[in-house]
Amino acid sequence: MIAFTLRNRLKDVRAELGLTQMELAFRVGVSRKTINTVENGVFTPSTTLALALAATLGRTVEQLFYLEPANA
Amino acid sequence: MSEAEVLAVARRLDLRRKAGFVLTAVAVVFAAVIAFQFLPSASEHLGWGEVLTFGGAAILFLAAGIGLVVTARLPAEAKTERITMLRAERQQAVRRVAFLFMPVSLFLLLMGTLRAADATLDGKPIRSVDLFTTTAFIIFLVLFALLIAGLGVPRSFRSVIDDELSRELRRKALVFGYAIVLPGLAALFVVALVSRTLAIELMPVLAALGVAGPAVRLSLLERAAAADPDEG
Repeated sequence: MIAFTLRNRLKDVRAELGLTQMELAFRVGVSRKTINTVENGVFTPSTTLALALAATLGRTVEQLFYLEPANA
Repeated sequence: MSEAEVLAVARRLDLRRKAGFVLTAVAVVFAAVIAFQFLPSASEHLGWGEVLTFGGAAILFLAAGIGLVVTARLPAEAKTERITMLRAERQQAVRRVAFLFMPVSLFLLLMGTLRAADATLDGKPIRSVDLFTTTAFIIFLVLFALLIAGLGVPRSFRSVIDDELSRELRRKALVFGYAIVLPGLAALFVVALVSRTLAIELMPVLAALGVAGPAVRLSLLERAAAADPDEG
């Protein structure tokens, strides 16, 4: 089985919409550190949080999150 | 009022409430000092003058503490979702620092507890100060363990202090605690086979490590998660 790493475009999309981490956190209803760690790839969000982020930013989950082969 | 002004008012009221809790806690300590004098096992007793002084102080501190807590009600402007969230973020930073201070207070109480255990094992009579210190040590251990486990978070702050990342970090910290306590217990059992006295004296040390370890770990994990903020 190929190993994958989860990547995301959260930071870019957030910047595109002119939102700060704090504002996005407020809209989604989580802490700023959660947004920070998801953006940095330190924390893998649950499906619920991924869907909430996508809905808040007006994107699909696939537009925000994608898989990359681990060796890439 | 602007958002900054509302936050400043909320901060002042939070401080007043905390001061109220501290005064109430001091009142409880004074009451406990008196109560321990009346234990049949206590080897020393205070005079009535001292009992009355401590009793009076306990009543005064309790009244002042309750008064401060009751008068620290937040205005409606400070109860909006946004202000609550900003307050919760600040509260989270305060908790992070508080977790780092837990080992210090546990260490201070541990010294007294070890002295009490040592005296008791030597067959000396239990002093009221030993009972008091040991009880305080146990109460602090339980209280800190509950705080690390996420209890005591106000409902309105839960979206920030008890979100899924916070729960994940707490889980890691508690696993760290288990990693200290479980092998520690096995080691304690081995020590008990050789010296029961030493094993008894090591018990509070292990308990303190089992709580202090996760407290420090949680604080560091929270700090790392909040680091490198990109506010742009």
